Amino acid sequence: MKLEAEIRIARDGFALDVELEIASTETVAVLGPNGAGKTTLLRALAGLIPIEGRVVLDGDVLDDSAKAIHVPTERRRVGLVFQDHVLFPHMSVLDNVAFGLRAQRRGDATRRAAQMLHGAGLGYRASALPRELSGGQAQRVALLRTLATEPRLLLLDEPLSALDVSVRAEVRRELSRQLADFKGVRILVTHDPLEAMALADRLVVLEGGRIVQSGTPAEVTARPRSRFTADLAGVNLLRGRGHGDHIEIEPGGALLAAPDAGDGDVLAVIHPRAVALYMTKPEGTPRNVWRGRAEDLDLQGERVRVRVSGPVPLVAEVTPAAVRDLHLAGGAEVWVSVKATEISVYRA
Amino acid sequence: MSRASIPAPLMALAGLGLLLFLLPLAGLVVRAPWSQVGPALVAPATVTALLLSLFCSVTATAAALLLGIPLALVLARTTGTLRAVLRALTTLPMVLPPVVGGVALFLAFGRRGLVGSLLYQAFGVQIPFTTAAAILAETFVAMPFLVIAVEGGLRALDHRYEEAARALGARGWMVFARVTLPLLRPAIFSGAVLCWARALGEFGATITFAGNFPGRTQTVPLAVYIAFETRPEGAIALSLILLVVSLAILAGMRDRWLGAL
Repeated sequence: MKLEAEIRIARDGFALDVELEIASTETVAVLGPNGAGKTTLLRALAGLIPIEGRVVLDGDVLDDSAKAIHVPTERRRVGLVFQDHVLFPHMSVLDNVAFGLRAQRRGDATRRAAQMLHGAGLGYRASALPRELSGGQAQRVALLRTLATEPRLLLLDEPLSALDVSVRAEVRRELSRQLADFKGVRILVTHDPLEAMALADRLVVLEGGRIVQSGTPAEVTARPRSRFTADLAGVNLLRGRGHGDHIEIEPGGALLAAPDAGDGDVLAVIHPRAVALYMTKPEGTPRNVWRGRAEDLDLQGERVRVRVSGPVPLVAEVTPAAVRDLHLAGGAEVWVSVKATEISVYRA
Repeated sequence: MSRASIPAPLMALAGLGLLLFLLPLAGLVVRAPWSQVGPALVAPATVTALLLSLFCSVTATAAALLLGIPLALVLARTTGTLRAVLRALTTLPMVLPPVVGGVALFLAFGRRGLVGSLLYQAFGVQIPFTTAAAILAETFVAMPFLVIAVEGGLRALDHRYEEAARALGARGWMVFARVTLPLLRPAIFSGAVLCWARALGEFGATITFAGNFPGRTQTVPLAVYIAFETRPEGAIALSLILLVVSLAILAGMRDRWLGAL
């Protein structure tokens, strides 16, 4: 089973232009900052908003604007799980789960719903109202309600973001299991990199309505292609032109020595740990040395990340002792040095 | 704002305003010939008017529910000029003097009216001066209260419930019956109570369009008006009943209306 989608939406100064091909053998996480168009994409796939383009699921054309085809949401067999669950507040948990089965006119709706709840260990909450559930329970009921209809495409909108941190890990484990058992195409949308990496086989990074990068979590974090993916990988991303053994950084035109800098437009990744700061100009081999100023600090566990301005603005990772010795908290002037061999360069 | 910050002259005017509401009620209660109220209440004419009022107002409310909820749905889902026009048409009976409404109903449904003449020719049916006319008049005047309340409820509704229902495979009617309607229950309830109260008190449109025939179109407000001339104790007894009903509505809806204050 496979989903092929080509979706263009333009409205209110926002444009979404996305092409996706997703097989049922993988779980795809659409990752991106707020306002990137993630939820719009899910709603379009669910048929809740009209699109330009095509959506084909398992050989069935669900949308084809060229042929004026639009299969309405209720006939798509596409399951949509909302961020804050949207359980029907006036129905019991059992009736919520049985709702889709009843919509399909299945005579055994109630019995099947009860079975599913029981199987998920939620049988004892069958007669509860949604407002009586904990966040984790509500999330599980919302997923069960959707799975009960046996959709061919499962769409999850920020499945864990409405939950307390304390229960998130547990619900994530269960969700991961359920996703693995699900036979159809699985897409989840999230702005949380951890959630994406824990649940998905492939990341699709959406920014400003476009896909900027797609690949396994390892690929995306090793070779980020945008500020957003660089941030989630926690690395410095530089854009420039390669000239054999050095890169001309854009903007500003600072030169950075790097072996295998290649030619043409390139991206360069530098891990903050590879950025060293000194009081005095360091002697020895590093060729990439310049003056900078410590701008602000961010404590991350045992290490401190320092944003350093200069000809090549970078984030450096240092020890708390270095912060004290170098007076970094006071916005001190420092020498910045990056070993050329620590710079990873790839085509833009 | 603290209570002390209201200037004395405003407090005095507010007190006067309150008196304006209170004095007539006090008059009604204090000057009621209590010894005669009991017998007046069980007098056949009173009972007839009461039963007719109850029947007409409940039927009018049912009609308003049947027609008004779909109308509110349409209103809530349209936009632009069409919506403005529909809205103006719906709310017109709220601001129109009821007597004018009665005249208009007469010109539409009277024997020579726009629709009435057709009805008469086709089926020999005459609406004016029948119980149906009283119900029609009450529906005309009272339905806007229901429509406005339900439309407000619809606009405040989180439409993702309906989207969730559709994503689960529910078609239009099932979404409406199982999700939209139950979620609108509070709005429908308060709209229906307002509508019923307005229908119960209807006078102008009814007397113009349905006339004043005891047992057929003479509802309680009409009976009060007529009786006030001839047997005031009956009028006062009926007025007291309407007052009690109004207070009961206020008490019953206190969470919705007074609770918000």
